[in-house]
Amino acid sequence: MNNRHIFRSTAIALVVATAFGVQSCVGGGSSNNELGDVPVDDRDSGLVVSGEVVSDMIQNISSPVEMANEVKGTGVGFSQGILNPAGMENKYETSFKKAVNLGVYAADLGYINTFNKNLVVVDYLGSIKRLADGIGVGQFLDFTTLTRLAKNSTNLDSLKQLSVTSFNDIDRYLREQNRSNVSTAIVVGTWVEGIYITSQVINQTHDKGLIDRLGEQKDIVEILRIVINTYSKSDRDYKALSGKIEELKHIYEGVKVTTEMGEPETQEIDGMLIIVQNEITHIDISEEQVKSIIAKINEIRSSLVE
Amino acid sequence: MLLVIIGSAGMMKAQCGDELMKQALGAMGNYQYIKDFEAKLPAATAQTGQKFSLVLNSRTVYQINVANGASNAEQVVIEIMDGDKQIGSNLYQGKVLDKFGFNCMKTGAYKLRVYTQNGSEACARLVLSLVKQLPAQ
Repeated sequence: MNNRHIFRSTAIALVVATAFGVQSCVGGGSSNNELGDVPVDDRDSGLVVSGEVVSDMIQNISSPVEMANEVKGTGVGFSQGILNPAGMENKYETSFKKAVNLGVYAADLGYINTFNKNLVVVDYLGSIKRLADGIGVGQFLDFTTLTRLAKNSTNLDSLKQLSVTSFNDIDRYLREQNRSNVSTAIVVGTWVEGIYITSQVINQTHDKGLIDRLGEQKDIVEILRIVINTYSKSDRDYKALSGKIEELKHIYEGVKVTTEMGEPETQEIDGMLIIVQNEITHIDISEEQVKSIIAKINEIRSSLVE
Repeated sequence: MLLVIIGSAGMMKAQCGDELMKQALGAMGNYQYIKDFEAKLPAATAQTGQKFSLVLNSRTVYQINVANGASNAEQVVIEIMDGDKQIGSNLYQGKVLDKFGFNCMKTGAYKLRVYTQNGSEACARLVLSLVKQLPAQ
């Protein structure tokens, strides 16, 4: 383990540890997380954190909206073939598989919605509803309203918004119900599918913005690794995933992420206050590294959806 | 005393629930919704505030807008923080604004701190939305 790696692990650990401090102050010491009172030992960083902290960290990792917009911004067209086909839900038998593929479909839905393919949405909504019912969160998906919005092309903004708020409500509910292992699986599925779609578009376009985005996932992979390790000791599905994420992390070690420091500025643009961050990230990633990361992402994604 | 506490909690729930969320979404404008945060600030911790973790992406302009509970004696202040460093706030030139933009240039974990300046009990709903993504340099 070289010095840079130690520094990065420590930095991530500090972020998680800081979040722990925040939770202690704000939450009044009470914990509603199933792992909340159980310290988790991260073997690489020597970090001991609570399950509540990792849950807090992971809930914000993946946004299908941002991924899909970035992909659309490259100018590449919609490709249904890269998505996990609708109707696969009967294959997924364990809670982990149902949850992780609910996340996969959430990312697919974000992609489909961004390209305004509302007729495709209807098929995916059916699969999403059945998976959500399978893990006891179907009540947060207003299937009737979502389907009506999907069939009415004048309401696509409402469809996009209701889709995302529904998944946020599911995440919030699962964490409140001490089922953070399930909410984490959904987030992992969404992240993997989002990066998988991004990777497929990189293969087509070699778009620099997307390649930088792929490289920037280095820190996110580290957060995921810590979170997944917390569940891998007691869950066979998480254990299998943990090994693959370790391999992905190993590939990412060669990717160099540097930050040019600068003080933020405040500007008023068109009457709106805008805070402009002047710390700029540079990504140094080789073509070989991109290929290796994409190959590993493909492998991880296959293991989740098959 | 107990009745006052229960009454206060009930009132907060009525004024800080779904209607406040609708109000926040309505004020979001034409941007794309990403996530919302529910801030509940009891008087005892209102000045210290509540913090929320979030991951933001580089080359992305976000908007954070807030709807304050109807019974808030003062508007909530939002700070965006990178670690312990405050990057910006909706408290600008002495005024508490109900929305602001953040031009993020570094992918990573950030925090939103929500508090009241004078320690009044308050609730608020915050909405994070996507304004635009900037091209790679």
